[in-house]
Order: sequence, then structure tokens, then C-alpha cells
Amino acid sequence: MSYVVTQEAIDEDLHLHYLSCSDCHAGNPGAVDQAAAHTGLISRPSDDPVAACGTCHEETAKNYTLSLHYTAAGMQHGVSARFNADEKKIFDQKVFEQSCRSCHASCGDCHVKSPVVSGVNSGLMDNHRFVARAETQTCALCHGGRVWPEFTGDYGGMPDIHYRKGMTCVDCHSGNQMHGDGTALTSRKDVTTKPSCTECHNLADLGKDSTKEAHAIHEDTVSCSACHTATAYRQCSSCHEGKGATSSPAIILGRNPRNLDQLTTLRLIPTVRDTFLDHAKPTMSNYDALPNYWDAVPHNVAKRTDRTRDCNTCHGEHTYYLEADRIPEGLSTYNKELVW
Amino acid sequence: MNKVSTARAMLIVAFFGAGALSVHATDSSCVDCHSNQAIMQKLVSPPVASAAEGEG
Repeated sequence: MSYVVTQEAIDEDLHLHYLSCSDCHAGNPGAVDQAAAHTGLISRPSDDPVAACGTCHEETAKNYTLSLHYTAAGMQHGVSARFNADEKKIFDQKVFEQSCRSCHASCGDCHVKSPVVSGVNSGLMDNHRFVARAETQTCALCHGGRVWPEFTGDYGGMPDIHYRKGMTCVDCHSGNQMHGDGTALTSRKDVTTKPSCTECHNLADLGKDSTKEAHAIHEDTVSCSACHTATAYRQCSSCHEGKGATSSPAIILGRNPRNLDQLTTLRLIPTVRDTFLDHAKPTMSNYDALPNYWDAVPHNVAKRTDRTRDCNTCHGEHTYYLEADRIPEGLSTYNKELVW
Repeated sequence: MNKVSTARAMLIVAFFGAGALSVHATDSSCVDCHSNQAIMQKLVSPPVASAAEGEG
């Protein structure tokens, strides 16, 4: 990574060859000193995707302005049920707009310069060439707290089988999913183009007879990740805005809060009753309207795990199952609904 | 001029015409600094990592 725009990049990359710097970044390209040259500079032109990239990539740019990576609406709506109307106004104005929304990704964050995470700016991905995909320099930075290190094994345990086979994010999460289809969404669960295990793995044709039987018995009530999550994944707790959270590794199985008839892998989400108090003081009058455990797909999949090898892991020992008396105190009363 | 020659001539005109019309990124003072490693190292401060655990 570097901040330097090389002559080779300018010569080779079509964007740099046919556009001048000021076409995107404005400023004053005729000036010779830094202050004058940077007058009116737009450092992140693709914060406005339609104006910057939409001239050529019209449909993609237009769709992207409604995608969750751009709007960050998932963070806004995911917690909103905890607030009453007045609290929600405060949250939207003082927390979401001033804090959460800074995590939105511009076109350039994925295609030109690595996104800035926790104030760390690691610069241009390839000397300002426009890159189609560079997951280790893009996805891995924003999703470096949980999903990426679980996927690569950096969080401990076994790397995901797909990673071991040479696959990375875009092999499953297509460009269409990232750019969106022009629908304004409020949750990643509503993305229609998100990948599914069964797109590649046809359960009816998979493995030995005993494997087919196990899949047939469980497929309506147990998620793939409940059995095929290899090792402990990150559970976060006690988040206070601006100060971060604490974490510990665990596999947790319980009812899917979006489908209570399904057993799945749950992840502890760190919102506590006073998460926002230090910032703008929006209390959460309806805190118990949502659980603290949410269905998650830990990206550390393995073909064989202790659950696929031995029925007794779940049916006898209830290993990993969420238990009411082990839910941390002070969290949402809703959590007990998720005990299987 | 036969059809093949006409087509070739049009291609040559299109090729050089487009080249003349293209706006190359080097046609500005921006690259004087932004392509210079030593200058960029002076201008950019090393990042300071936060100790907080991240989301995501």
C-alpha cells in the first residue's frame, strides 16, 4: 500500500488515462503550491457515487446509493425498536448521523483506496489504479473485528474450508450483492442476492446415505451453520459508544430471533442498556423489545465438526446451547425466548 | 479506395483522434507531488491505531 500515484498506474489504468485528476477531485490543477492546488479539493469524490462514477457507470452508481454499504441503514434500523419516538429522533440525529454513518463505504473505498478504520488510513491499494476486487485490503479492514479473522483462522481455531480452498469474499458475495439492485433496504437479511450454501451444495446429492439422511432430518429446523461452524467465534459485550466493547470466543446455539422454529448459531451483540449514554444520552425505553443474541453465520465453516461426528453433542450433551441461567445479567429479557 | 482501406483509414483516424481528445492524468500539476515518494512521505503522517476492539 502506498499514497504514491505512479506513472505506470497513470499509463495503464483507463480511468487515469482518460480522466484528469481534477475531473474527479476538482481543486486547481494549474497551481504550483499545495494550498492553492487544493482549493476546492474533493478528497473523496465517490462519496457522491452518481456524480463521480455515475457518468459512466450510471446504473451501478444509482443502485449503490441505496445499498446497505452506502447507507449504513442496517445500523440505524437494527437498534431502532429499542427507542420510543423521541429517543429515536435523538439517536438518528446525534448517534447515527454523527457516528454510525461514518462507516459507510464510497465506491473508492472498495475500488481505489482502503477504507479508513478506527482512524487508520492505509492508503491507495494499487497506486490509484482502479481495482475490481481486493478483499484483503477492503472487506478485511471493515469486517476485521469478527468475520474476516474467523474466516482466515486469525481469531484462532480452523480457517474456513472455503478460504482453505482459495476462495475469498467476492466468490460468494457477488458484485451485484455489494452494489445493490436499487431497492432501499434496512437489513442485510433482506438482501435478495445474498449467497446461500445450497446454491452450490445440493443437499440431496451430498455425501453418503447417512449424510443425506442427516440433512433431510435437520434441514427444516437447523441452519447449516449450527452444525458446520468449526470453532468458537467472537461474542462481543458491553459496548459503549466511542469506547468499544469487550469480547470472548464461544459457539452459541439457540432459536433464530427471526424464525423461532430454527436452531442456529447466535452471536452476542454488544448493545447494553447504557451504550449511548456517554454520547447523546438517548435512553432505550424499549430495550427489551429486541434480544442481544442474533442469528449469525460465522465464517469458519468445516465439513466435519463435533456436531456432525456425534449426535450426542447436541441430542445428549446440549453442548453450546444457550442456557437461561448463563445469560449475562442486565441484558434484554427477550434473550430467554431464544433458549431452545 | 476500397471498403477495406476505408475501414482501416477510419480506424486510424478514430485511434489517433481519441488519443488527441483524451485527457491524461499527467496533464496537471497534481502528479508532480502525488507521484513523488519523498514528498508524499513528508506530507502523510503515520496512522495511530486505536486500542478499542472493532465491530464488523
